[in-house]
Amino acid sequence: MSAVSTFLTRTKGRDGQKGTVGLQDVLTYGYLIFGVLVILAPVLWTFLSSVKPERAIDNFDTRLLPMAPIEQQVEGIGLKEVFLYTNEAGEETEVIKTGPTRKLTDVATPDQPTAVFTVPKESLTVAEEIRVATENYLDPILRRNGQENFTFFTYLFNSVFVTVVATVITLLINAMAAFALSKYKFRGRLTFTLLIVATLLIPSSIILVSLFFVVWSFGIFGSLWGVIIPAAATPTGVFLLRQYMLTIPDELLEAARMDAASEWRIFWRIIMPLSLPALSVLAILSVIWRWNDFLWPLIVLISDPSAHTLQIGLTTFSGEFDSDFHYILAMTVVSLVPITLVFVWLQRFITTGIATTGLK
Amino acid sequence: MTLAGILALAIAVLWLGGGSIWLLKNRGYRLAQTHVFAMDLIGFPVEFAQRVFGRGGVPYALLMPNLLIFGFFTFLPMILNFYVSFTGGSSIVLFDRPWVGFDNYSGIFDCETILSPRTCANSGFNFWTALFNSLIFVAIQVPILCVVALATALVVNRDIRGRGFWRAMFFYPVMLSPVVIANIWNWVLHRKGVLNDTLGGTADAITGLAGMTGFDIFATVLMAIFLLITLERAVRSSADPSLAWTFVFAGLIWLVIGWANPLSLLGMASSFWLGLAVAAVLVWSVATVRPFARGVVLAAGVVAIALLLTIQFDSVFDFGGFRPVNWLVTPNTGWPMFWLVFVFCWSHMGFYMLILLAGLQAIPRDLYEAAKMDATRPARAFWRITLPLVMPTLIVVLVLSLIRGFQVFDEVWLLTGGGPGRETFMLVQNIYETAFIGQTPDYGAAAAGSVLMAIVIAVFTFLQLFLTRRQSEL
Amino acid sequence: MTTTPALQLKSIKKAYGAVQVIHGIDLTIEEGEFVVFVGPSGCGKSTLLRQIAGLDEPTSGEIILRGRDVTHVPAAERGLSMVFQSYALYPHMSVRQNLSFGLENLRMDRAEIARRVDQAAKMLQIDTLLERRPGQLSGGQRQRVAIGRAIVREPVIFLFDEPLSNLDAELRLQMRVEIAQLHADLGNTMIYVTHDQVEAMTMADRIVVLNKGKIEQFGSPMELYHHPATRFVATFIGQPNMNLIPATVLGAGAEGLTVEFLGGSRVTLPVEAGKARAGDKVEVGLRPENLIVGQGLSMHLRVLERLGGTAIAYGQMADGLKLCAALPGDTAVSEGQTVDLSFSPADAHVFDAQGQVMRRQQAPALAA
Repeated sequence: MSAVSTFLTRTKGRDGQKGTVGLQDVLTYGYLIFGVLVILAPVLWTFLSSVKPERAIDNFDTRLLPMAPIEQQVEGIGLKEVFLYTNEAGEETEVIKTGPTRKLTDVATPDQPTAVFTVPKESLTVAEEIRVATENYLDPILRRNGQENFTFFTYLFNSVFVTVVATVITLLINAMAAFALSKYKFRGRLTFTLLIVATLLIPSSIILVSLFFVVWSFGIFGSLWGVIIPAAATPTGVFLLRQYMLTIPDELLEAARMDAASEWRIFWRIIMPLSLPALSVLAILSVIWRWNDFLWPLIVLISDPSAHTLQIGLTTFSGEFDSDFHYILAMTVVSLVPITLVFVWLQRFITTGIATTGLK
Repeated sequence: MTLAGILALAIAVLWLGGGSIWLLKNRGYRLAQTHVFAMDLIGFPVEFAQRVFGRGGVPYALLMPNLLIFGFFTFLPMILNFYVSFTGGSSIVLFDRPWVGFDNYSGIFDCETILSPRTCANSGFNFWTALFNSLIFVAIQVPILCVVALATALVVNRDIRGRGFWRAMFFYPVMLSPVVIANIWNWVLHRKGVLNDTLGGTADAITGLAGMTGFDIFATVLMAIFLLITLERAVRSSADPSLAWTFVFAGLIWLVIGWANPLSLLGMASSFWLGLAVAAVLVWSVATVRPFARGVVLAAGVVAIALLLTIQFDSVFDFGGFRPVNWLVTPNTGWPMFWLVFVFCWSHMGFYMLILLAGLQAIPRDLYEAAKMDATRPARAFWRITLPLVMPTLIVVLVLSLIRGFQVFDEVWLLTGGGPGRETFMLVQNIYETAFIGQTPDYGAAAAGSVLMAIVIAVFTFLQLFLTRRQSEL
Repeated sequence: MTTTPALQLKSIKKAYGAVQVIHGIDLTIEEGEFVVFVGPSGCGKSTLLRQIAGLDEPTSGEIILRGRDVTHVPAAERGLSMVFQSYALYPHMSVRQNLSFGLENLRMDRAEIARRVDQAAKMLQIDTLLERRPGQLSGGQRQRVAIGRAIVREPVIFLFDEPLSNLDAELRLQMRVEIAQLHADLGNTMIYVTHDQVEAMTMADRIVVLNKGKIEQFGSPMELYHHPATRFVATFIGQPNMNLIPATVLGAGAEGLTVEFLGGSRVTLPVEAGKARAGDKVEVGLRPENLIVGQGLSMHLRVLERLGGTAIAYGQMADGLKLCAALPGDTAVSEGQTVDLSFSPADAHVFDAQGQVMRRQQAPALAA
């Protein structure tokens, strides 16, 4: 029997040493399949659900495809739902109901709505077709059908503004600090380095209340700047860039000094371009942080709907329309798509970049 | 005009105006060099510092913006937090806040006994409930997160097909915002959602299968075959039993003991823990290469076959009708906390996996080749090479996940809102609700809560570092 | 000749914390000279060069460039250029950008930049590589670009910091000739730091031998070879290294110093004996190329390297002292033999216990 199993599990093998699929491989791939189920399936399910018509969502239709009942314009009656009637011989006819549903229901064909006949309830099934419910997306985005409060483009603009401006500021000032800490010897360097380590250890949620006081006294409470400025200096970013800049040879800087470059020019023309790999990792991290930021924007921006970011907008939206799952799901997908596209585009770079820059 | 406005205006005038004049005076620019001028203007303070103080002044100018932000928005609030925690009232003007001394703290400690939050005054009730829930959350979440992240890192570090894809897939949830994550899981976990639907369907199918004639005999035979194959695989090598197969075998034993329920003879309801204990002993004895490992495995096999004959598979697999669970709102079931831990791990695991993966890849390959030359079994190589060498990284992961675990808010707020009742009400939510929700915001109490939370986090972090200090010195 | 020297160093000292690395250096370099700083690693030669460049400031002392005190002037404003050991080419810029970066910093006219870059590129035969990045160049090409970057600045002084140490032997030889040629063509003052005495001997107009932060000797290559001022210079210059044989002074006279070797043989050496007295310990320095087969020193031959023209013989004397001799290529000796060697007393150098030389009376006339 073991000969048979050896034969069945024999593979070419990738490293030429293992001739058969070992139990370890089975467990490995089992784990990966489990991972697909747990990680990708819910996201895909959300996407598939977001294109289902409101009716299917309300009924918690768990079929994969978006099915909607067929409706037909019937002369003299209006829009009616179409049913399939199966007679004793097994033939199917399209019918509409002309009366209330009873054990024996009055129906008629759509062509002759007046020719009413009676069939048992069990022989009727809903006629369905596949229909992608684009209105789930278009209603909130175009602010129609009672979705006037969800100002999608305002939220989008705010989110993009916060993300882009905060990331640019973060990159610039963190790179400047990292340059100072990695390439200059000066009095107080150790102190400054330790100060920045200390901020790494202060969790943001601990200073929530007093940060609110500071931001309020600066007068940027309630504005997007109140979200951008406090988070612009990141200890993680300074350290990531500092570690990278330490690997740039000092001779390059000295060559530039011999080339009559000012220190700022050295920073801008030599250090920044050479730190590009670390800068892009920090840029990606910063984009993720700012785009997904929730608690602090919730505190700072909640009172002014025109300053809501996409995340806050989406939260209040979900709160207001607790039952309008079809809109909530669609908007969830909308805010999920850009970051997913960025990720798919840059995934190799992101995963290797974060893993190799020694990020803590 | 606000403070920030005046500051911003002053800086803008000095920087842009003064900088332009200074630069244009000191350096000639041609029209084609506008971009050079712009670049110099951004760095004007640095250029100016170099001109005035020489190269020695440059690092200070470079550090200035970062330090200003750290100073105003991290260190100042840190200190201010203590001050605010000693003041009362609901004014947001610092000077209007009356000094109340330790009132906010004594409010929190105003309890008959701290261990039972219900005996506390209002703010104490909130704080202690939140603290205990946070402790439970962290205690469950941290070990699970670390083990899963390490397992995942080990899996995607293997020589598997499409490795890049798998790594990306496990990392993907890290990219998603808490709101998106909450909406996804709210939808999946809804009472009529896809999870309940799938579970219900599976339960019905199995119940249906169990109702068929001959199912009992068929299942017994099938189980016996599984047991024999895994047992044979586990002990067939002349040397020590194979760990991987023992692992599977232990899982089967666990099932068999659970189903046969030998403890029912003693009047106990379930043999779940007994099964788990037997399985753990099996895996432990093989993993640590005990001399009696082989005997233990064989004995367990004999016992398992004997127990197998007593199992009524018809009743084991008869689940009856499945009643959908309202996962996030049913009180006293533990499910809300379970799903919070699950969703938190789901969304953060990828990050820690990457850190651990970097740690694993830093282990030189030669070590494994040397181990192979020494005929070290893979399990032993894991315990003696991989684990010790990845330990420093693992400790970083432990500390980080602990600190983050105490800070959990987004997922909780969006999924359960602290409910049902106060079952998942945690520290940050307490601070947030005290300070920012409701008619009379109590900033003083919230600040006092923050200070206590900081102490709790600090104590646990140091405790953890202290307990693991030997490994981290490696 | 101009009256102002290109560069003057006045009692330069440098300390890093408590560690003194440069102990007061005075040096005057004339316009158009090729000066090489040579010495073992850690002797302070690179530190000195960096102070001249303006990348480091001396703890005390003055640096005077063409009559102007530049001690506290930043590197950028000194008008020097430097070729670094690692070349320090900006990896993210093309060769052309590398060459023009410094000129752009001086806000030079674009046409002038292009002219200078093209001229330098043609001169160094890198004009076909202008659009490439440093990463796409070979070691020799990078070296040329680094030199080109120095040339376009048209500096007062060229500084070279061990520029050839990253090249393989063959390329090093070739670039050595090219740099010497460059000096002949441009006529600029050049200061060149190396630890390789062959480079120093072949390229320099004058050599500064540095040891432990002090100048041991400053002079032309042949001066250093024939009249080493100290024992250190004597052993540092010349390949294979000079043999040092301990001896005891028997007496000093007008015709020289009479010494006795450990083996008991005596010889009178024509040097200025100075304060030497009978009984003093001295060391007699003999260059391997000055040893010939004859009577006097008996050596047990251990290893014989036949290079064709010469044969380098390594061996030991009876008292265990190691000895090296460069013999004519076809000398009929073999390993394991005992070879008797002799030397002309006029070729011998004598060093006192402090390592200072006793000047030779009958030295060869110097060419320069």
